[in-house]
Amino acid sequence: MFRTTFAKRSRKTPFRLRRLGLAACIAALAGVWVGFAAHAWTPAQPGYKWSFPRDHWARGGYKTEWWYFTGHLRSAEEPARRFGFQFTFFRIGVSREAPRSGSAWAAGNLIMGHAALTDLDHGDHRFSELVVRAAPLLAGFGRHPDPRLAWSVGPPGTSDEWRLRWNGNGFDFTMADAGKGFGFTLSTRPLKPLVFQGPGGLSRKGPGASEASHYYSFTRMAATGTVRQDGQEWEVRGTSWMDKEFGSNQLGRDTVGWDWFSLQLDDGREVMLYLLRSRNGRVRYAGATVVDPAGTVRYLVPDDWKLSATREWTSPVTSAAYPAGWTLHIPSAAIRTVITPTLPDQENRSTLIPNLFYWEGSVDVESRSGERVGQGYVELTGYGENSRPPI
Amino acid sequence: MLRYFCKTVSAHWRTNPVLYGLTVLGVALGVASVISIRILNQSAVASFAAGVRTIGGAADVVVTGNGGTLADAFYPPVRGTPGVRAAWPVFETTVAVEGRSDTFVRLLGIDLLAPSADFRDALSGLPPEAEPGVAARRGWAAATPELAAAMGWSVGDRIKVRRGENVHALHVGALVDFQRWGAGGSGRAVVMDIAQAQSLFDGAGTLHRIGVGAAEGVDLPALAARIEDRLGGRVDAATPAERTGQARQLLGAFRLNLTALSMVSLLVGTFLVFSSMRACLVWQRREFGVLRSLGSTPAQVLALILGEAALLGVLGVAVGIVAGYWTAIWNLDAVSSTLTNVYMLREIESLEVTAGTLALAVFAGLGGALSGTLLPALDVWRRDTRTLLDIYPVQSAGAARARMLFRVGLALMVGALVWYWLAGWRWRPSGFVLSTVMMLCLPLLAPWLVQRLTARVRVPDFGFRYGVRSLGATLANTAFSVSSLAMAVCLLVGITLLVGSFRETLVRWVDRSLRADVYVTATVGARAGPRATLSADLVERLGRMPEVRGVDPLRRLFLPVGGRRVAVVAVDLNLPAEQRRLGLLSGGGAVARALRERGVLVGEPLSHGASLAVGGTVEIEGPLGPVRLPVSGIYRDYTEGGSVTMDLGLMAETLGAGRLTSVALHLKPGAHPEAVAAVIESRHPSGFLRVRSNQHLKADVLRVFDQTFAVTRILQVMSLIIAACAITLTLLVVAQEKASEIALYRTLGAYRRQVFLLFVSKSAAMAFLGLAMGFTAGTGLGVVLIFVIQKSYFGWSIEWTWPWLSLTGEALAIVCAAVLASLYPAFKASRTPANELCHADA
Repeated sequence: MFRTTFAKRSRKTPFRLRRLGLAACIAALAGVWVGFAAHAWTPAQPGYKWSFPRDHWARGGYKTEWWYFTGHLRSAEEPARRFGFQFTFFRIGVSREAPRSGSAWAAGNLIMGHAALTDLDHGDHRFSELVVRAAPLLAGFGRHPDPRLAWSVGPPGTSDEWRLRWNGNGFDFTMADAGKGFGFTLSTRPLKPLVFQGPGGLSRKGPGASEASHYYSFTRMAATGTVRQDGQEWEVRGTSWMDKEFGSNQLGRDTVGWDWFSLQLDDGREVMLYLLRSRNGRVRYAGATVVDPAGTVRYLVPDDWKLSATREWTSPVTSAAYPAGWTLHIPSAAIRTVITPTLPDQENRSTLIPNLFYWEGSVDVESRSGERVGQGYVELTGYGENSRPPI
Repeated sequence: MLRYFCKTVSAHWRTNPVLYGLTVLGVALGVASVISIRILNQSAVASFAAGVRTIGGAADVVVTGNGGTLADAFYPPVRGTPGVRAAWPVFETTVAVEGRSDTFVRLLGIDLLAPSADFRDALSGLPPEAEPGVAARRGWAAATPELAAAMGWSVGDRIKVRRGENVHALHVGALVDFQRWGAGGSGRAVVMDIAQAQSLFDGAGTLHRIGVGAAEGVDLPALAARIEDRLGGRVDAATPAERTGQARQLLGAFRLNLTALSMVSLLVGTFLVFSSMRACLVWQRREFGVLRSLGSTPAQVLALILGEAALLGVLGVAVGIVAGYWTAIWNLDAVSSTLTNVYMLREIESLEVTAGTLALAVFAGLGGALSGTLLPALDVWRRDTRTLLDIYPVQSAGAARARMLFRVGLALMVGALVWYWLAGWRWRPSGFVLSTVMMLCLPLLAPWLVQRLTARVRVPDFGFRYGVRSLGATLANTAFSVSSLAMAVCLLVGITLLVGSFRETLVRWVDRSLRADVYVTATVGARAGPRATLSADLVERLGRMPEVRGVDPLRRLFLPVGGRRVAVVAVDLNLPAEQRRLGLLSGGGAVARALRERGVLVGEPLSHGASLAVGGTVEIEGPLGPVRLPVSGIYRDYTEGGSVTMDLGLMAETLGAGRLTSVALHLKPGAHPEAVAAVIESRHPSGFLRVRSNQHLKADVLRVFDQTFAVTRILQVMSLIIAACAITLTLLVVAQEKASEIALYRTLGAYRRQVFLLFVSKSAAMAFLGLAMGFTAGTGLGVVLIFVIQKSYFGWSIEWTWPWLSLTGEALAIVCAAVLASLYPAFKASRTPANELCHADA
């Protein structure tokens, strides 16, 4: 039996660190010798003046930034095909100043894309990735009011671009990987208002002054579009969760990995919770957010909730042993659920970055009695002997 | 029998170490001459093949641009082509290390920010203490450890490199063994981020190649074709095998030289092995008679002979492989310099001794030893004991056999000529067939010629003429020596005629082409083709110099024409006729016609190779797309692969504008070219310009030419040594065989001095006979090399010249070598005691 033990912590603003850590991890592990001179980058600090929709676009001056979409889709025709998906664009700052070189390869940022499609009915999980420099030739980030938020050439062997656009109300994004044989094009529309993850959108992730990021989410969005797999195409619709986060030097040195949960309950509420693990296996930092059907946010401290791992799954490829089933109890929200992966193997294994692998997948949320009460996505990083430490 | 074999072998070594040593040496030299050239040949190709692999490891497909470079914009579509697993852009240039004007370094710009699996091993070589972000810093560069060691660099050093007029400071941020990471990576390179490389070295917007890694199971030629289709045929996508094939084509002339020499050396080497073993066997003939008389069966004797031959062959092969390898090392500089100076390629970084080379060594050495032994051994096997013990070897069959061999040789030669005249000329390698037949005929013709010529000599006394005449009496031995010598001389004369005629033709061509007084190019230009250029400002400054009467600008690109990559040159065709660089073959009106028709002039090799004639059209794959232009004239051209020349204005219009590659300055009367060159150099002291006077440039051209053919010296020297060995062996055998006869002379009152001179005269006579035969055959070989092989392979018109000075020197060297080779056998023969006669009679 696997059990996660929480350390007692003071009440602090919850934060969501998974993407930040992943981005930094990938950048460093890749041997991508980007400029990490922290002092040159703007740290996330209280008092940031949000401005929407402008803040959906890339924010220069911060070292890392990402747009993260996960969700569940269902094809229109019967019998319906069910899919889970993940789509992410990371911006990784190389230099704070705009490049002055005359070369079209000069870039102040790298862009990294991760995407996954899980065929829930056939037990198939596929992962695609790219890392390119944000040079006009290959990739870039738009500026408000250009609807393009980010775009990139596809992975090698794929002629289609990966794109993320602001459609005036929500986000449109598309990806394809000819080699892996899948792709999707989706348009999203928020069903609930934007939520700040932390007071004022400042998400703390450790005791250090710079251990924070600016972070907001759309916790429930309608998603429509097409999914392509092995030459077949389905018209789909479903729900999505979106995160946008940016900051610099957020993670503490002791952090080795994290568990992150985004749950969409059928009663209209959403739960986001995370825990950050240190080298000794203990939880270094943790937090949670509950959003009620009206969009009101309540931030929780670790004492407010209890997450217990109930099962373990070992990857046949990386030999990493991940928790693969949980019980979650949030007494103050009357939530007592069982969380189960819809498919055991939803491990994303990078072929570009040595020893970068993490589990990111769809989960079912059920009551203790076994009734479905929701669905969600879980991310688990830092598991496995060879898994590289973040930053 | 085995015990006897072991004992007898050691006894033979003890009793006649010189003969056995020479036999092993003969085999070794034959093997060495074969493999040394083969090693150099293979290493040259391997070096280029390694160079074509991208810095991104061993790419499955390499994409290059038609104009020598690719636009940056081609990268995304290449990367997006189905079947591509990874794509690595490479910007490459050559830079001079500041303060070391003769040291050039390959500088590669690659995408250091792309965490490709193909890069990560290399980047993991960065020292852990290196600050993250360094790769993106201005001037950051990683050097290979080999280069750093050679240059005395260490991490943290600041170095200055120069390309053209610009000097750039680089920071050695790391030492990375790119060879360890990718087998094709260069051992002497500096690598930096592509954005910086492009920016620093005027390369914005251009790549030199894109290395492509294919997804698993993808058909590579199909992938290459898809990439070309996707880019509308504006790029060339080739698999490594195809690229190596292109390298072979590029190195055609050079490799042809080496291959031809290798084949000839195989022939000569094998013949020497054959000759050595045969000589050794003759010496042992009487011993076999004794064995037979003691009860050994003919089969046992045959096994003994072949076993000893195999042992000597093995020893010779072992020594030959070592000697061949060292010979290759000694000649490495010459070959390497040719590669870098003439072909603008990387130098040979390592010598390759392949399994094939070793097999060839074994084949030539052991095969030659056994085949050289087989016929005499069978002869021994057939003969009865009495004949074997006879002190006077039977030579009676020699005369009839010599006549028969002569007829076969003559028929072979005439047959080859008739075949060539009727049909062979259509077949490109026919020249090699003719050369080989000519060489093979020499041993067939030699016995009868030696017999007939020596038979005519009158013998007044026991002196020189007696020695000459007696050659006919030992025909079986002397014919081999004369053949060996004739083959060596043939080779020597053929090559001398080719090199001499070619050089003289080049001198005349250079005189016609180099009309200006001073030539100015960028330093890197000599190494990096069109990539180093002169700024317009510099050209203008040169033109304003008070001594300068006129400026003849030149711009050069390397573009595909008719399926081959050639130099496309633009000059000012409006210059007065006396200032033009071209030696026209198609009449003086060609230049005017080119200007009128907006046409081009085509170099002779390209005209020959691509079947381009005046009135036809040439299609150039230019950077802006294919360009079709009329051919207005043909000119003499001795560049590799040929060239096309047009007016500067036409090039700018059809192939796009660009900077000049070099300028030639015409000086006012009274101005001294060397002085003006010195002034220009003094104004640009950093050495980025190569300024040469007319005389200096001509000397450079000839130096490069001499360097290109320097490798032929290997074979010439080998030939001389082989010939000397053959003579020594023959005379030793004669001294052995004729011991009784010499003893008889001594008994009849001959002095030792007379016997000594007798042998020296035999040697001199063999030398003269070999010279005469070899010179005749060598002249034929020269004709084939110049008018058949060079013409059919390169389209070069070479004017026949007799390089008398070289030929005379070589003849003297051969006679001296022959005389020197005879000294030891002569000395040994002169020491033959008179009682040898009694012993023999007993």
